[in-house]
Amino acid sequence: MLHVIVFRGMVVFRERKRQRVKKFWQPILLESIVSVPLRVPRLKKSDAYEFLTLWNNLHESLRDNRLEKLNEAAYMAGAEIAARRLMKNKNVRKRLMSVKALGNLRDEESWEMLERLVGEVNATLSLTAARALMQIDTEKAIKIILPLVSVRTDWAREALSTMFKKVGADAISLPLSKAVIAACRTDLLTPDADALGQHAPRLIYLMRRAHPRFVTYVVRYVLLTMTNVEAIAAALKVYDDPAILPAVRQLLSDQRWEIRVNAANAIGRTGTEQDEKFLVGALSDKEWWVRYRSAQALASLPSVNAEKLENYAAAQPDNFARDILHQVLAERWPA
Amino acid sequence: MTLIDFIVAAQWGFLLFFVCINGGYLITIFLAFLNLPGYLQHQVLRYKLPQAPIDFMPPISLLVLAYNEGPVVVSTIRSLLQLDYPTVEIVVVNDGSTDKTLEVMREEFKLVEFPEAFRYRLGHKPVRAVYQSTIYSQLRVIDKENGGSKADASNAGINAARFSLFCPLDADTILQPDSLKLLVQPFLENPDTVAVGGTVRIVNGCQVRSGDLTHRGLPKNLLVMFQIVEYLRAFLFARVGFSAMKALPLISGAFGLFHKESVIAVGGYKQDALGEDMELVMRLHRHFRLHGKPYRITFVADAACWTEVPESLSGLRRQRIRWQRGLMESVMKNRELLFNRKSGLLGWFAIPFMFIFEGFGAGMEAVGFLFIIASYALGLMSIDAFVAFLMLAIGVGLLQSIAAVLLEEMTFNTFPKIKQLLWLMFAAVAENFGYRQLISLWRMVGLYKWLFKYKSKWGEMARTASWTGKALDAAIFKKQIALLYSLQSRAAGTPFLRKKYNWLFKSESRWGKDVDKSSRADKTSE
Repeated sequence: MLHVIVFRGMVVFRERKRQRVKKFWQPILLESIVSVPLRVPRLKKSDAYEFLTLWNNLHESLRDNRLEKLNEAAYMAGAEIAARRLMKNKNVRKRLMSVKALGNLRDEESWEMLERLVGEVNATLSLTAARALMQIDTEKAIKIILPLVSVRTDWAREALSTMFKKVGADAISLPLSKAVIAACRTDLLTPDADALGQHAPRLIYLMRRAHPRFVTYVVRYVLLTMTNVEAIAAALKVYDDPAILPAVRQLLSDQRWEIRVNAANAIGRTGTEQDEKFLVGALSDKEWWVRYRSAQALASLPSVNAEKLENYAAAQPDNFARDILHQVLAERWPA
Repeated sequence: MTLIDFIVAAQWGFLLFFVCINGGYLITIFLAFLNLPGYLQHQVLRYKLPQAPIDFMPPISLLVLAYNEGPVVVSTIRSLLQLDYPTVEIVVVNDGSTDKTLEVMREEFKLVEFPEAFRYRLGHKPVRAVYQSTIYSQLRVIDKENGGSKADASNAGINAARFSLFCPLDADTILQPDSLKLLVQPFLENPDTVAVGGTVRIVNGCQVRSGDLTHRGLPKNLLVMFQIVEYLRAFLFARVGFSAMKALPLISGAFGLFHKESVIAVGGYKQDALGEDMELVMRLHRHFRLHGKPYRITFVADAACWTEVPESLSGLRRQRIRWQRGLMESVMKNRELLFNRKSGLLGWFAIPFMFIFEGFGAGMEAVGFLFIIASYALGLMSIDAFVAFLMLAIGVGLLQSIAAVLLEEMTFNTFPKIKQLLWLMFAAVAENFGYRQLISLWRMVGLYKWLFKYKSKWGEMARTASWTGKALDAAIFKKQIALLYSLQSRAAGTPFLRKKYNWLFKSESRWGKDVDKSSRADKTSE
C-alpha cells in the first residue's frame, strides 16, 4: 500500500517537473520558430527527456520551412548531445524519444549509433532508428533498410509504407523496384516450398509509394513470372496502368478467388467498355466477394450508368448476379 | 485408513491446492509486472507525439448487438460515429426487439430499406430487412428474427460485415476514441493475428455526454467498487499474464477485434454456449493449434472500452453463475486442448488452471476450509497454525488486489485524484472480507448447475445506464410515467400513459448483462 502511495507521489513529481520544463522551454522554442534567438540556454542533463518530448512534439506539428530554425535552436541548447547520451539509457521510453529527436535533428554524427540500433531485436526501436536514418540521409539509408524489409517481418508493413511516403517517390522508386525484382528471383529459386513467395509480397506492397512507370514495370514482371497468390494479389493492388489490362482480365478466371477479387478491383480502376462483358461474367462467381467487387467495378466503369446497370440486372438469369447488382445499384445511386 | 488419517491427508491436499492456485496467480502477476510497463514504454511515441499518418489502418466492421435497447442504442451509435479511426462501418443487429429499438433508430438516423444480397455463411435466424442510414453512409441496421441468444445476433452481424476485421460490441459499450487504433496494432504488426482483446473498464460512476466519456469517477455503490478491483485483477494480471505466455483463453465479448474469415472458418459463435465469447476464443485456439497453423491471439491493455456492471446482488449473482457455467462449458467443448502435445502453455497451463482452480476452486476452497476447521476441532491443528493459515489466505488475497491497484497506478493512472486512489485501496482491502467469499459461493452454485445440467435461460435485465445524459433523462421520465401510471390505475380506467409509453418499460434484454437497479431487476432466469 505504501508502494502505491509512493508511486502516486512519483507521478505527481514527474508531472510537476514536466510542467516546469514546459514553462521554461516552450516560450524559447516558440520564439525560435519565428527567428532563432541570439542566445539559447544550455539544456540541463536532468531535463533532457522532458525537453526532447516537448521539442519532438513541436517539431512534428510544424511545416518544413520552420523546422530548420527549430533545429538550430535545439543545437544551440545542446539537445543533440543530450539525445546521444539518452540513447544509451536502459529505459526504452527515453531511448525512443532520443532516437526520434536525432532523426528530426538530422544529426549526422549519430549515424553509426543509429545504424547499430537498426539491427536491434526490439522492433519499435529498430524501426524508429531506421526512420531516423532515412531522415538524415535517404539515399544511404535505403541501401541499409531495403534488404531488411523482407527479413524483418516484425516491422509493420504499414509503418514502412508511411516511412517511404515521407521520403518521396523520387528517392525510392528505382532501388525499391530493383529490390522487388531481386526478391522475386529469390522466391523463384528457393527450393523450400513453404518459403516460396515470402520475400516479394512485402516489397511489392511498398511499390504504391513509387512512380507509376516503375509500378507498371514491376507489376508486369510479377504477373509474368510469379505464381504465388500473395505476390500476385499485392501486384494487383498496386496496379494502375491500362497497358497491362489484357493480363489482368485473364486473372478474372484464375482458380484462386483471392486473385479473382483483386483482378476485379484492378479492372474497376482502369477498365474500359470492353471490360463490361468480363465483369458481367464474374457476377455469377461462386465467391460473394468476387461478385461484389465485380459489380462495383462494373458500376465504376466510365461507360456504365445506373440505367445500364439496371438493364444488366434485368437481363441476368442468375439470382446471385441480379441480387448483387441491385445491392451495388442501391449503394451507388441511392433512391 | 482412519478418519484422522483421512483428515490429515485432506489437509495436505488442500495445502497443495492452496500453493498451486496462488502460485498460478503469482505467475500471472509477475508476468504482468514484467510486460505491461515495458509495453507502455514502447507506446511512448504514440502517446507523447502527434499521431503518425493513418492511411493504412485496415477498415473495421463494428457490430452492435441490440435487443430491446431503445434507451441506449442511439447514444451508443453516436459515440461510435465519433471514433477516431479512418474507416469503420457500423452494423447494428436488431435481434427481433419487442420495444421500439428499430423505430428509434429509423427516426434518428433516417433509415431506409436496402436491397442487400445477404450471405448466410454462418447460421442464424432469418433476416427480415436490411436498412441503410441516409445520413451516415457507414451505418446499416440488420433487422432479424429473435434468435434467443447473443451468438445468433453476432453471427448475423458477421455475415453482414463487409470488412475483414470485426469488433462485436454490446449496445451499452462506450469506446475510448483511440481504442480501435490501439486494438488494431497487432493485426498490423503480425499478419497471423486472428483475435485481439481489449480492456473492459466499468462505466458506473463515470459521466458520459453525447457518447463521450467526460468524467472518470468512482461509483458510490460498494459492490461496483469491488468489481472495479476485480476487473483490474482480471485485465491487468490474468489477461496480460496469459497473453505474455501466448495462451490467452478469453477475449471479453464486450470488446475484442476478430479476423472475420478465421471466425467463419471455425463456424462462428455457438448458439447453445452460455459463455459464447470464451468458447469462440478457445475454438479458435483449438482449430489453429491442432492443425498446426500459425496464429496469434493477444491482448492490448491500453485499448479500453467502458461498460456497465450489475449494481445489485441479484444481478451480480446471475452474472457470475452464468460466467461459471460458461467457463465449464467452454473448457469441456474444447477439451481436446487439455494436455495436448500441440497445445503449448495454453493446454498445459492456462486452460487447466482455469478449469481446475477457477472452475472447481471455489468448491475445493470451501471443502478445504471445512477440513481445516475439522482439524482444529479434533486437535490436529493448533490455534496458532489455524490463525496463521487464515491470515496467509487473506494476505495472499490482499496482495493480489493491492498489486492490481499498484499496476494500474504504474501504467494507466485511470483515476487521477488522490481521494479516488484511497477509495480504490479501501475497496482492494475490503473485498477480501465477504465479497470474494460471496463470489466463490455463486461460483459453486454455477458449478452445481453445470454438473447437474440445469436448463439455462438468459437472465432478463433492465439497464440503468445512469451514466448517460439521455438515459438519465429516460430513467427520470420512466419513474414519472410509472408514478402517473400507478395514480391512473388507482383511479380506475385504462392507463393510457402506460400503453403510450409501453416501450420504456420493456428495456430488458435476454443477453444476460445483468444490470438492474430498476423495477424489473428480479425477473430471472437461471
